[in-house]
Amino acid sequence: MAELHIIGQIVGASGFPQNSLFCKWGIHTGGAWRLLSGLKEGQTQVDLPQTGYMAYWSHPIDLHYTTKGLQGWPKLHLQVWHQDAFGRCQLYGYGYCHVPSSPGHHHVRCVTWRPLGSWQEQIAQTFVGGGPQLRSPNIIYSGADRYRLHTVAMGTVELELGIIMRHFDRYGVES
Amino acid sequence: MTEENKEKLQLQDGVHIQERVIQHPPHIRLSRSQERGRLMLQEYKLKTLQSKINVAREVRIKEPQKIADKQSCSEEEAYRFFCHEFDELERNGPTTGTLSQQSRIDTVIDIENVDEGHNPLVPGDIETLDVNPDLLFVPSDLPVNQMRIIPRYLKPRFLEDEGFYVGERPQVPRKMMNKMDNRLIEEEKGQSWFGENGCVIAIPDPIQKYWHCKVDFPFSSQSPCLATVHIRPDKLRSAGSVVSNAEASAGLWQLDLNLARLNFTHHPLFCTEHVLAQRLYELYERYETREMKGATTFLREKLRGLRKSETALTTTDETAPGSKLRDLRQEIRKTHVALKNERQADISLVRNIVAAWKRIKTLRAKNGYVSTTVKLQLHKVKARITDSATNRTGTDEHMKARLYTDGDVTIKQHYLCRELKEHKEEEIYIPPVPGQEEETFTDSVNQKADQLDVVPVLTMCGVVTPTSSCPPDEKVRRYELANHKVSVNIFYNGKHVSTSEPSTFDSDFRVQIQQMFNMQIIHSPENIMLEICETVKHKSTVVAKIYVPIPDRNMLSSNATMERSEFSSDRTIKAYYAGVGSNVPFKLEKEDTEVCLITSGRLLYVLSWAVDESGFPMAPTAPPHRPSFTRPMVSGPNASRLEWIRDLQCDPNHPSNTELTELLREACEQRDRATGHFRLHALEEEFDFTTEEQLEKSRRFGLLQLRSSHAVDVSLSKPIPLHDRDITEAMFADYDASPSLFLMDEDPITMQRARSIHYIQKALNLARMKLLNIKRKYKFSDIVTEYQEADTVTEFDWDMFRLKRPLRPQRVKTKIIPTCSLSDGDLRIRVAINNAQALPVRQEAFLKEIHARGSCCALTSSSRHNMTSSSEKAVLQAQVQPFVEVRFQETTYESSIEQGPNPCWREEFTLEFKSLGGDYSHAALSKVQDNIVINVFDEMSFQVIESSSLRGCGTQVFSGRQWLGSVTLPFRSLLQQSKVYEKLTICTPPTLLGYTWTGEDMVNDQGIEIPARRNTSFINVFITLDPAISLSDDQMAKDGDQKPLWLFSTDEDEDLLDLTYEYEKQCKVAAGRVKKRVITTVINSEGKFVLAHRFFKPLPPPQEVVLDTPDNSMSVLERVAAFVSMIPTLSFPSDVGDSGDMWLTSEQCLELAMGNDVSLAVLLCNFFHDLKLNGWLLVGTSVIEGETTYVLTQENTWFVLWNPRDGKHYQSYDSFCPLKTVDCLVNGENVWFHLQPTRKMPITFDVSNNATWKPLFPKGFNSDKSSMPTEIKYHPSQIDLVNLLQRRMEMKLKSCVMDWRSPHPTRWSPRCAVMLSEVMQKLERNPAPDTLELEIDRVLDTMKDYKVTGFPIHMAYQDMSTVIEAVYNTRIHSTEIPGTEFALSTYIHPYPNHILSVWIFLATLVKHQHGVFYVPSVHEH
Repeated sequence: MAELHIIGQIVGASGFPQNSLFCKWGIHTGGAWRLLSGLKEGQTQVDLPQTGYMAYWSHPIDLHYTTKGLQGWPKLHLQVWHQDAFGRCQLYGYGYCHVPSSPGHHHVRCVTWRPLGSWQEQIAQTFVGGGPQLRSPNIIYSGADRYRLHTVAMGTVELELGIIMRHFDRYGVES
Repeated sequence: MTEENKEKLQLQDGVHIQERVIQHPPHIRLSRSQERGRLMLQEYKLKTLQSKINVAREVRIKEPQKIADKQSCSEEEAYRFFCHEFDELERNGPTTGTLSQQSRIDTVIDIENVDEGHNPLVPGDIETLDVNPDLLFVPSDLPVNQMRIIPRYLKPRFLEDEGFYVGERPQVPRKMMNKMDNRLIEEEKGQSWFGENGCVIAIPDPIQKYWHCKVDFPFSSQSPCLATVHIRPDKLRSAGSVVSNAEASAGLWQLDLNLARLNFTHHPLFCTEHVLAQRLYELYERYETREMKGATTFLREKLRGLRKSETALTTTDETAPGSKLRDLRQEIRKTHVALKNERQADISLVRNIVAAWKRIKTLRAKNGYVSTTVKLQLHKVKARITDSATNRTGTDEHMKARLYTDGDVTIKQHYLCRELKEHKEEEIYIPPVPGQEEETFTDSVNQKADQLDVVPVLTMCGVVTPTSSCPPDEKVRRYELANHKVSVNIFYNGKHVSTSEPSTFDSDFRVQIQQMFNMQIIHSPENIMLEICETVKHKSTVVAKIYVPIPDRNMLSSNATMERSEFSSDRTIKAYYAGVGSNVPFKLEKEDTEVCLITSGRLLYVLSWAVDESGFPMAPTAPPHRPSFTRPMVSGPNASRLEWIRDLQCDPNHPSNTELTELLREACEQRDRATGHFRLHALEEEFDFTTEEQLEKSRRFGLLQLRSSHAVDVSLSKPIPLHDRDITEAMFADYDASPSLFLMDEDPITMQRARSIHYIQKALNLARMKLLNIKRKYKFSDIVTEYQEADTVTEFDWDMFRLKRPLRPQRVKTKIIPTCSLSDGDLRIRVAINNAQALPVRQEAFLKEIHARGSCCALTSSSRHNMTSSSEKAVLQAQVQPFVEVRFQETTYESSIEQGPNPCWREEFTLEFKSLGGDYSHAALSKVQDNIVINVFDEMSFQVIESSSLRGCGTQVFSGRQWLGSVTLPFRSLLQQSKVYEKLTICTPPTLLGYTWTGEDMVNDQGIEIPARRNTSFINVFITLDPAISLSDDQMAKDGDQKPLWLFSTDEDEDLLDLTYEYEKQCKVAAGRVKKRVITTVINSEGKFVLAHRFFKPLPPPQEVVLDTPDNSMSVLERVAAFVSMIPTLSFPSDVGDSGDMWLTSEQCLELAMGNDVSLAVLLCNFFHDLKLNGWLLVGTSVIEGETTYVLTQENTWFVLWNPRDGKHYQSYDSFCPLKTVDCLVNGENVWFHLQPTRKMPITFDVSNNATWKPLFPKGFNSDKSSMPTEIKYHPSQIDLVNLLQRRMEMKLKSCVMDWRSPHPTRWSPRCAVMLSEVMQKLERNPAPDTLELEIDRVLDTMKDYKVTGFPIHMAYQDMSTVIEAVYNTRIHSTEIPGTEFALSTYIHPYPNHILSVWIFLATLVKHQHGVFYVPSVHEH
């Protein structure tokens, strides 16, 4: 019975048009996986960096999974949001990355994107904020036809993940 | 200029030129100047359009043949032609002008002298010209002098520097730029070519760096899952708030209702002809639907196909199995019969149509006028298919088409002359007589083809007789009809929305409405109702109401179809004039039977959702999970169901079955796919490491999940072993907080108790969770520790002036250690038992008995001597040999045996304390539920004389113990008080069989004699914790500036909460260092903050408690208190974090038959209020219970304290009252805080004295009262259930006692038990002491032969285990005296709401003959 610990943090994000950001995150796994302890989704605080262009969250992630198979290795999906001066929030980017499959310390950079929307929406976004959001956010990590979307590249989210695997070698998974 | 030079020039320009042949008038001779002008033009183009790298360049190439042809064209003409074209250029450039003059002479390209054999495409063919360097202008590549460009008096002006945006100039090499400048200066004198900055004018870089062109994907519409929603920026709503969808999309929905027309199938104004016409119409409709289905044609084709295969089978295939042929033939026969039936039905239908038509015709003839437009035509169709057997290869459709075209032709030919013209009397044509038709049709069935077929055609194009030529009846009817108008009212969700225009009937009772209604809606549609109103003049009546179904979301106005809704009305309208009326019987014709028709009709409408500009339906979104129609079939191909469908053998070719067959095919495919093809998910299992079951089995994972689900209780979190083998069951038990509660073998009452406990536990857990959640919401200061400047001023050390050696030695205090540094085995409880007072003594009568019998016993001389020598006094003084047993957490200590009713032990015991799970935090310690139990026993020695001994009589001593009473001290209270040094009242049973209290007066600590109290014994104990535990770390954690009340959800007024908060703060200040509790707000069972005084409201106690019974010695108040004490209290702490106890309302308390300390006190207080008594809830500290609540009542001038748990009451000055300190008082009006700095009991409870009592609300403050109802419904306990419980309890206890005595036999004395149960029933009624004594004496008299000792236990019923525990605590089973008989009797007195008062009488009976009780003499003492 293989076990997987994901311990780490969402360090922060950079490269977004604005720096006042926060992040909603979640871990998506296949059906074979079972969460033993820890929270598999959450939200960071809003960071408004005074200096520099990177928003730091240092949000902890601590999960303990067990699995009966390799299918559906955990994926981390992220939504970066921007909170403007009026306290309103708008979506700045979707992104997902696979949890590293080798044990040890990993520095993961997750690039994000945002749906573009029609030109009217873009104009509205420029002046009043807001923006298009996906109607079904699960295509962030599971969309076969996601390529049809018109998107804009946004910044990157940096994560530091420590992976501890247990008993995977018992089932012939070399790590 | 030669071509070579041209090339050179171009190469010098540095532009790569691709040469190509272009079509040019071949006869042109180019002069040099012309050539040059053209070149310049081209160069200019080149320069300006930098982006175009490849520029076409003409090269003159000889085309010999053509030129030869054009010999006639003279040189002059050619030149003119050329010059004409370049006229302007020549004029502009003066230099070229001079050149052109020369060109006339010498530079004409000689095109004619070209060898004809040359291939024009070979480079060698290019004409070369001699180069005259003087004539060529080669621009220099040095920068041009600015003076030449800009006039002397001007300075170059740079627009960029002035702040204008000029864009970026295209990148051109410097050299080329210079060259260009030079050339322009030379040739054009720089006019208009240069800008103000001295550079060639250039437009900004025309090349776009970014690709603006968006790729359009080949798919037009995006899939719905990719759809994005534009969300306006909004503040994030909290997770709990509910956003209704209706709000978000309000006003976006639109329903379009198109009312087409109304057809009345019956109307009161129908005349007879109309009725008949309607019938005809209906018949015709049936006919049409049959035709549409085409069942006959289908069967016929099928039959043909079957026949064909039959012939094929019989002729060609010899080896065909007989069964196949047989099946086929059977099939043919079946089809044949079916076809025959179908034909019959067809024919009869047509016949009926014709008959109906005939009736109409006869009626029309009879009436002499026509009022309907119905017209029937019978078309004869000649089926021209003669060679049926051979030619039937064409498809069905094809055949049909032929048939119909034939029919049309025949219609034209056949019927033009024979059209039925009813209104004219000259009608000659008679349609086929029924009999005739029958023949023809039967023939056609038999002979199939080559038949004349009749097709009825119904049209509505008949001519109605004009009103003027009608009889008066009909005239009136038509006039009436013209007055009738019909309108439709539209109701949406029961609200009238719109009304259609009133429209009139036409002659066939049709109403054309043709109106469109657009309804923009906000509320989700529930129903749409159309109300059909008929208006006659100004009086309108509702004919019918039609509820139309709300269309599906996909039903859009673009694709909606016409819906037909039928309606009818049962209103009765008399027949008048020519009309037949409605709902009244009438006869069509005299000989006909009566018929009764009701008004009915059809409404044709279109109801659909509108579509917005973007093509989205303006409809509420569909519910997320709408099961697809085909889904169950496709997704779950149930094999058996499939087989069943197959066995149906429905015809796959039948048009009505197409859908089914399609589904079937799909399902079969899916099934086959699953078995016969490669699918990855079948292999997926092979990749699995383990199975789900194994994961389930893993104890480690189970434990981990349990821990994470119980993450709230931090105290339980501890490491989990790495391996399964290290995990014990006990670890699971830690997390399984709620064991299986509802054991099925329990009786209903116990179940009820368990449910109550479960309910309270749930409420508590919820409230605790809430508190934790609230606590999690950290403040800013919790997260961010702001850097505080260090205090640099050091405190002045005053100690240096102190005397080094104090004169008076100070006591060394015991070290107080914080709880966190404790571990297992560190904490001990020291219990010192000093002495006891006024213990009961063995009864005199009983002793006398012994004396009386002692003489006749063969006692040994020594004992006899002892007995006789002992004086009467000595016997009286030493009638009890008490010892003490101290028990805590399974450790038990016994003291030595002392003599007499006032023994002095002076013994100290050290009890090990072990916290659950090794957690020694204050929170965990305060949750410890263990009690320190001090039991007082009387040691009884029993001597048995063995007379069989040879050396005289030997004696053997057996010991037994008799429980006298106990003191129970919760560990919690010890923790709160840190030490107990007190004279405690021993809880003794109401009566002790065989014992009595001596009426001796006692001396108290101060040496004052206090009068003896009946049946009360005391014990002096000193209990302390070793080492002492400091609780300060928890006190410090309280945050001063945080308002904890605001965090909990509350319904209270903000101002009130502010007031209480201020009050609490003031109280805290007033209390100083003494920790005093003040209760203003409490948490109720819903986890909300409620002001404490809201819990108080007069409540009537149950009638049977209040009602006085003659033999009851208790007052009403005592009885009420006793009733309340019969409500069991929770065995677990009910505190919610550090916010104090959760308060249950009195109703809950009674309903659940369960309560905690506080709620019982509140209940008692409420009962007292109802009895017109001044009552307060007193929050204080009791010696025994620690922090607790009592009820204070005022009677005249003195105050009485009531303990709601045991129903006892004390005078406020009573020194034996366990309540020692008072913190505050609460009742329905106010909260008073005790302002005295000491915690001593106040002498008076005069709450009006503001110096000692600080009220929460100022005087006259009227806060709204509690919302608790004043009435309470008590439901009587079910006697049979109580009796059942009583029996069960008795059985259970008996078996328990037998178990505890396991190796020894246990004998029961049923006779005694019966008597005891009688006593108990009296005990419940609290008889006066003397009557009780009488009762007991009676028992003792009856059991004269025995020494009877015993006692009743009185307790509230919670569950069986507590009862068993109580019995075990008395150690009645541990007697070793042989021949002891036991008597156990239970009695349960039911109070309402299943509040039970349980009595258990335990007694031991020892027969006197067996021996004597050893009575210690005074000398021994």
